[in-house]
Amino acid sequence: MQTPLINIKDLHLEFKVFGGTLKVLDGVNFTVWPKEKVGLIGEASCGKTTTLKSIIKILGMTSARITKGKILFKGRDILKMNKAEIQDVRRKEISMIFQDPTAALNPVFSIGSQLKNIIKYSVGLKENLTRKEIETRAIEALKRVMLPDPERILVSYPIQLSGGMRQRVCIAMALLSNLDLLIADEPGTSLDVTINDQILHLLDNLVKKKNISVILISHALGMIKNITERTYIMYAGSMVEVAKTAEIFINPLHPYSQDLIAAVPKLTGEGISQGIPGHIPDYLNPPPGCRYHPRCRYVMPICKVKNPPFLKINEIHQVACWLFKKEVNQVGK
Amino acid sequence: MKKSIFIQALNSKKWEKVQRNWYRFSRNYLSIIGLITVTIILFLAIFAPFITAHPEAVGRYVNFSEAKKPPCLSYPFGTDMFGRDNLTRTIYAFRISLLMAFVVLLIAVPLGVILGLIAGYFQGTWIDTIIMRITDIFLSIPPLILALAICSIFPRNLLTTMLAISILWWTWCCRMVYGIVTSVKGEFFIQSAELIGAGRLHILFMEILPNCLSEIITKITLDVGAIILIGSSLSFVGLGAQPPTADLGSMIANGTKYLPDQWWMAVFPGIALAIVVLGFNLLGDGIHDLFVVEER
Amino acid sequence: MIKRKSVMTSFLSMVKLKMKDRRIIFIVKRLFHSVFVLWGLSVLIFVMSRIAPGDPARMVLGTRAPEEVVERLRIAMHYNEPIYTQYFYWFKSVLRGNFGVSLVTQHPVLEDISQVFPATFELAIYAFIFMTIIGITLGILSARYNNTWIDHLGRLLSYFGIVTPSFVFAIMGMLIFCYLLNVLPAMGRLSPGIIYPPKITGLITIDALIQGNFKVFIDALKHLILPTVSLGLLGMAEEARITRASVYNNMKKEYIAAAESYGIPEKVIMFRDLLKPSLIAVISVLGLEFGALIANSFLVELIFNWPGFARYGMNAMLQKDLNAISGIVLVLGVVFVFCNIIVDLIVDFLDPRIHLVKERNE
Repeated sequence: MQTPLINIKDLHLEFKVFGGTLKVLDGVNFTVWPKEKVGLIGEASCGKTTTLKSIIKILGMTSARITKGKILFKGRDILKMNKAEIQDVRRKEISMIFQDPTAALNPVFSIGSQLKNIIKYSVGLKENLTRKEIETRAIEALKRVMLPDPERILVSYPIQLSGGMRQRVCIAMALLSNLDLLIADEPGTSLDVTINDQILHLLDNLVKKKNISVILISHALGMIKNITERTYIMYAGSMVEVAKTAEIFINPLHPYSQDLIAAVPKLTGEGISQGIPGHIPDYLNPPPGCRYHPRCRYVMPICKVKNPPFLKINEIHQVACWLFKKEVNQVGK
Repeated sequence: MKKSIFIQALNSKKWEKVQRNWYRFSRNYLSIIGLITVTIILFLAIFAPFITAHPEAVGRYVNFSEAKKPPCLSYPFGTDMFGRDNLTRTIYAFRISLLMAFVVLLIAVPLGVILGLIAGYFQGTWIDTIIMRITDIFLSIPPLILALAICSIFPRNLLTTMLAISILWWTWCCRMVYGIVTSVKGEFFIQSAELIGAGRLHILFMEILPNCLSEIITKITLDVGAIILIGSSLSFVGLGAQPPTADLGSMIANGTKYLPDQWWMAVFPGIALAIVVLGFNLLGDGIHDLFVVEER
Repeated sequence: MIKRKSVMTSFLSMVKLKMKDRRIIFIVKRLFHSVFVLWGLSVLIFVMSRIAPGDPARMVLGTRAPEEVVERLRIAMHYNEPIYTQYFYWFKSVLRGNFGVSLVTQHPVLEDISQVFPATFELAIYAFIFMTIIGITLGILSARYNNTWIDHLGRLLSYFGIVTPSFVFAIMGMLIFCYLLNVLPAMGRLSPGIIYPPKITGLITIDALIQGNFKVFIDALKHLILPTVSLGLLGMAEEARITRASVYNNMKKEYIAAAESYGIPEKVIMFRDLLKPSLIAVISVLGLEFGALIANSFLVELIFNWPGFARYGMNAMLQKDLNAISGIVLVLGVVFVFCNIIVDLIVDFLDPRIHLVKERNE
């Protein structure tokens, strides 16, 4: 049995805010195998970014608190690591590309200065590099993401670059080290469609070249279909379904997944769907039991009381819904 | 059935808004402290003649048998070198300070706001240049120094002080409003108002001014404290209200001569001054926080 | 004006310094602006001094002087001529450095000013360093440990510093430390009986150190403590507040999380990525803070009997010494204009967005 690269077990996370606590993550179970590409789909503010940020524990300066659960990276519990170990992980093994490239770049430092900072203090920390070597590496990184005229970009400030260029710079920063896992949080969402496409191809090539694991969050279901092998669907702070990517688009089982996939407008023009009635739950007072039950067409009494665990349909496909309890019992036994 | 207008007003959205803002305001204990302090000070100032025990202390009163008494039951703040009750004088001094702040703001704020609006709206033209250059001249030196200079040259009384501070103060308001107007000017709602055919006056006062209001109100509250400080600094050196009028600055100045033995003569007005400024600062901060929209 | 600018720009374009020549144009523009402001200030001061009640000629000569002598002085001072002519003569002499003679000291005003300037300069430098370093440090600590007791204590202290007027603090300080506890001296720069060190810089502490004279150095420091803290308290409190707010806001920004995700050590993030954007807010107000510091020194120097520029100015104002007042105001004007230009340059250096955004809009 291979050890999974990432194994999040029953993660609960809350934010302390003015009016109380936002119970954002409510028992997240998430697994990524080495060299696997996993997608993560969900509505806005369902907890996707928070889950991923908690993998590398960069929620430090906000008011987030992890109340329960484990995050295992290569078998080691990230939540129990000390600062030095976690920094090692961030430097050498996991990297993240953020959603908004403009926000992810420090506006008062030049691109070159930020790149060299990363090389100096992070990737190349123990290596004692000279200034020339640092500069060479920075230029190489920019060339890797197909940015023209890297020397000029090194001295520019983020405000002088276009959105697409900023996103490429962020990708360059993420790929500076030889990582095992790349987390991409909606790359290209804040850019327009043609740039989006270029970024997608770029990512695809780089990922295939390096053969690393990827966690890809996206609203663009086409991107998910192209890159990922397995996909999770997330709703209101927990995973509701996971399956092979192809399977989840053809045969979604969870009521939410069904509505979600159905809501995608199809080229064959079968009409625009109605969308999903209701709204996402209030995290201050989330509904008890399954968080989807107020909007679910097949709601049963048990849904209002107990949160369904992940039930196995087959080797890869799992659903968190009480509808499938009987089936599991029939199949399992 | 027509509901009475009062009940209608209570149920209207505006009242809800007021209630919500009050809730937000009251969550911050510092703002509540500020509000209470300011209310007490205002109350004391307005009703001073009715609540003070020794109203003669403000006039030309001399009673050497009671002079230089330390704080006791009949004289909670002690007496000064002429035998006047310090507590009464302090409360009357609040009146002077508040009067000064009120007059200065009454003159300076409308003047500064209007000039700032005009200069900002006509940005780039000669109107703008003239107004802002004059503002720059007044802003080149800290207000206290210019106020000291002006007050020292002209006859020394309260009126001069108030006028002097007013002449300086409008420039700060003008500069602030100018900044807001120039940043708001480029926004689309101004252009659409112009397209509809709104006149300049309408745009200035109905579109642009509401955007400045929150900052103006905050500034006014904080300014009361600042003006009282400058006023006290001026009267400390003898340039403000003249004796026998009670003013916090002059009381402190007189008290310093009797340090350290009759310490109460300087210390109590000093603490009172700090409390007044603190109250208005806390209130101003609370009001400022009200207008800030919290990001998620 | 235009000729000078285009000559400069063409020279600079030959040298091909893109970024720097914008900065130089910026400095030149600011210099012109400052010259105008100073000129305007001189007009203001002049008009004020001429509107002031009282007969200047008689004030110089005294009440006992006979009328013809006063009349002759009036003619010599151009008092009977139209006001713009008077201004012209006055301005000409001001440009030569001649502010007239002080009524109080009977010496040329500029000479007086240059004598008293070092004392205030020393006090101002110490107060400025105190206020900036401690203020910013407190602000950073408050933000880093926000909502803990450190933060609450810091915020309380800064409120206290903002609302207590400097002269009240000076008096309280004198009361407690000089009279009650008797650990610090009350007046002046040096204790009576101690000789001033030979004047190299004019700053007693530096001069004493250069001489190796530690006794004088310590004594001067003791005399400096109370005035420095009285002057610097307001600025320190303001800066602590602004720094705290700025750091606290920037701490939550995405680029800090991004820097963390790349594995950069926390200390590097704090002192590099977080500090630079946060300092911008503080440094922008440094000019105003310094102005308030000098303004407050007018009162504090009076209280501590500090033989400085501000005490001289204060005395001049109280005694209606018009020449000295004009001199003081104009000299201060020059000082502040200079400070504001430096502050603007530093802010521009720290935050390149300012002139880059202009570049895009032009």
